[in-house]
Amino acid sequence: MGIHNEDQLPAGFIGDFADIPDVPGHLYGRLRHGIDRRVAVRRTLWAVAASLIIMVTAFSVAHLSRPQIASVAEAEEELSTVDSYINSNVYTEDDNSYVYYEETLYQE
Amino acid sequence: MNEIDRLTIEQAKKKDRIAFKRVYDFYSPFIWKIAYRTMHGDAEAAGEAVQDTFIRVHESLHKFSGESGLSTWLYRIVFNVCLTALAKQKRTRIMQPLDENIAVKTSLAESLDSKDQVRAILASMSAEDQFLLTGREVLDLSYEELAAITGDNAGTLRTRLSRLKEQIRKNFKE
Repeated sequence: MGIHNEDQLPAGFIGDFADIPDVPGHLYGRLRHGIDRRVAVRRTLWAVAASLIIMVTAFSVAHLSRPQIASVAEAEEELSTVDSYINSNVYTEDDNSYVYYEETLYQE
Repeated sequence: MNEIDRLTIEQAKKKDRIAFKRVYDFYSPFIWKIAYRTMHGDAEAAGEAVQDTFIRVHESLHKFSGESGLSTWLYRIVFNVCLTALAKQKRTRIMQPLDENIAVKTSLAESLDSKDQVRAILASMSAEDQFLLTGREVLDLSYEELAAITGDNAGTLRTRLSRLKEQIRKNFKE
C-alpha cells in the first residue's frame, strides 16, 4: 500500500458521488410560471390595497366635511333655530310667500 | 468559480427576462448539483429547491451588492432553502409509518455494491456535510468560499471535512 493522501476520497466513492444527473429541462418553464404568477398576485394585491386606501380616504373626507353635532340637545337647538329662521324670513302670515312676494311687487 | 458578466447582473436586477434567463442558465447547473446532493439525491425535492432559490433571487437580486461573487450569494440561498426544506420533511416523516424505513434498510444490507455503499454512507451524513462535500469535491469550491456560504470558519470546515473523508475511507470498501 502506497502513501495515503489524507485529503483524497476513494475513487469508487467519488465517482458515484459526483455522478449527478443534469438539470431537468422543464425546470425553467416551471420557474418562469411561478415567478409570473407571484408577480400577478402581487399586482392584484397592490391594486386592491390602493382601492381600499382611496375608498377610506374618500369616506374620511366626506365624513369630516359634514357638520358635526355633538348631542341630541344640540341637534334640537339647531333645528329650532332653523325653524324660527324659516318662520320669520320665508313664510308670510298667510303661509304663502309667493303671493306675499307678488303682492308687494305690484304694490311697489 | 467563473462569474457571469456584471452587465447581465445589472439587467437582471431590473427584472429583464432575458438577462434573468442568462443568469439561470449560467448558475443553475451548479445550484442543481448542490441541491441534488444536499437533498439526499431526491430529484423532485432538488427541483423544488432550485425553483425556490431562483424565485428568491428574482425577488431580491436588487439587494445583491456585489461584494462577494454572485455564485457565493446563490450558494448561500440554496443552502438555506435546502436546510429549510429538509427541516419541513423531517417534521412530515415523523407522521409516516415505520415499515417504509425498515424496508429501505433491509434492501441496502442485502446488496452492498459500490452504489449502495455510497447511498448508505450519504444517508448517514447530515445535509450540511453533504453540502460541504459537494461544494469541495464536485464544484471545487475553496474553504474560504464554503466559509462565506455557511458562515463557519474556514479552518473549522477544513477539519470537519477532513474527519468526514476519514470516516468515508473507513466505511467504503472498493
